Amino acid sequence: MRDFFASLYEWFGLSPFYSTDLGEHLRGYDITCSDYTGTPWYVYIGWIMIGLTIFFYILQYYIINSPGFNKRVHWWLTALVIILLNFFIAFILPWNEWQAGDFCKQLRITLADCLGFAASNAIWSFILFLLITSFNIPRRWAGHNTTDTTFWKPKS
Amino acid sequence: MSFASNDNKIDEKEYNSLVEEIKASNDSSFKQFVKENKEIDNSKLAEYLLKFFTAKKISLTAKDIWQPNQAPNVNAKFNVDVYIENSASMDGYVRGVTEFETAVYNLLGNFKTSDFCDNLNLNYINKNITYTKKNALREDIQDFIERLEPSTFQQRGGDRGVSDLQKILHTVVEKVDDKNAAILISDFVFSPGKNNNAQDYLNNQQVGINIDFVEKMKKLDLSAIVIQLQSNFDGTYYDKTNKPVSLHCKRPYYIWIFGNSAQVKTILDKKILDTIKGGYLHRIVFSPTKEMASLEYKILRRPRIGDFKLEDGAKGAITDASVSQETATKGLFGFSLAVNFSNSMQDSNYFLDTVNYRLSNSKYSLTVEPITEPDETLRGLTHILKLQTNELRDENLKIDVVGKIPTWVENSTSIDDAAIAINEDEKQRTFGLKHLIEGVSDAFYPQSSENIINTISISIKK
Repeated sequence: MRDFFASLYEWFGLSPFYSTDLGEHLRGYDITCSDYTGTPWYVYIGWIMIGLTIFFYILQYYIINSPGFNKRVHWWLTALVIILLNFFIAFILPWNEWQAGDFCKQLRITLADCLGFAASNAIWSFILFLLITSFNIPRRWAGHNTTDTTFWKPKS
Repeated sequence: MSFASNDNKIDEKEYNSLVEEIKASNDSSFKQFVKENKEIDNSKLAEYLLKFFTAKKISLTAKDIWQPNQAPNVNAKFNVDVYIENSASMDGYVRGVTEFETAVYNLLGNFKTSDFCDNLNLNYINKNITYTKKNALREDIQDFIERLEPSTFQQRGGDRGVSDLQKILHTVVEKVDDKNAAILISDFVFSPGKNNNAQDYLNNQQVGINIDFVEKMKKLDLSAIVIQLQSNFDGTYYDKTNKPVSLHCKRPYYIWIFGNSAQVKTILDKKILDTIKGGYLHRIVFSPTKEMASLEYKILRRPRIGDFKLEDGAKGAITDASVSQETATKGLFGFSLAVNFSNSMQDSNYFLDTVNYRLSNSKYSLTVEPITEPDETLRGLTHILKLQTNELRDENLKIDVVGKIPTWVENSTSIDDAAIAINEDEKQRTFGLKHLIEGVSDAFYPQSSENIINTISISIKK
């Protein structure tokens, strides 16, 4: 799981938005700089991102499930909340650890790194939301109110 | 089989890795090595490995297979025979109260009070052993030290005119065995005499010393420690032509310790030498290279040049290595290793000298620094090795620590002591020291062999 989320957030090694050092910390490089026995932030934040996105999907499509909340702007509003929340969570968790000095001191972590990782998490949450709202089946199970509320053809 | 085929031995790391493989495997053929409590039956496994390698015609004995409870018997007691050379050139070290006397008293006291010393025997030696005090008690040591004066040296007799170091070393080393370690204290200045060609004499002594040590090493797992100390000297120095020169200055002298590897390791572990009052200047340890032990190390995330990942932790491989894009270091790749050399018999300074390392890729340059700052992440580690290259490629970089003569020996050697009276630098040197050390070193570390003391292998992948 760690490697899966790591490659996801590091954009499959192509161009991560943050330094290798933050990547090592998020993999769980421990405070003694010896092994990956520290908190596996990639895994935690990855699951939080998936959970939050699914939660807001359920909220919009199954709980609210209202003809008054199925327009293009409502899809984007939910997407924006997901993006912001995931950005905030992915920023604040490593940032707090950095501030507390609770990481391997051989790693150099910067504010830009924390912002870069937060951006990665936000983008992936958007992609996930876009994907799950694109599939026909679970959306249709919610009934007729949000049948056409997708990125591709939201009701305007 | 690859474990043993590269060096004809299975070390601790290889053995443990094999045990883990057996534990993890479901192969029924491995079940014979697993006891009811799921632990490995080490004796059965060792026995099988021995049979297996014999069948594969790989020369390996039971001693070459590391075993969990195979720690050397460091608790065994042994006798310590102390020899003080009392040739005339030593008188200057014992006139009045000197640092020499303090250090020797301190050393003898350390041995006497140690838990490994059975009997402490005190001797004077020149061409022969001229005096012996067996099983010296505390008061005997005090008396021995108080009597360390030129008059006592003369009284103990023998041929004090020349220092035949080869003969002295031969006599001392010959008495070393598994029950007896030996300490030889001398200025180790060769005395070619005025009728001999100094260079020929030194060469002959070197060859003689070498042969004596090689012969002894065939019979005993011999190790040796040499420490260089300094003391005030007030007396007559005899130069290479035996011409007397009156000196009043600081002069180096040496304490050699001989024993089997376990005895020498015990002496080092108990820090007997480190607690000598006033300390010592330098140390060399000669030990058979077959004693190669695995090193504790970790790859550091910093300092580095370029970038890399440590996907398997600090002891694993370097992956995704890339060269630096920064202007100052563009095209370079570098990483650092923190290593623990404290279990090595060599002096810590030995590992600071990069000439004592051999890299499998000559395109890498090496610098070594001691770890002095308290750092939790470097706890238990003693040196930082910084490696750098301008040709990054996929490889297994081998870093070998090789046994050789440290540079201080060259710096402390005199090849002509005729002008010692007027040359201050010469007063700090020892005539022929290099020949003496080379004679011994060639026995332990023959120039025809690789003489690897320790080795670290790092996998680097781009």
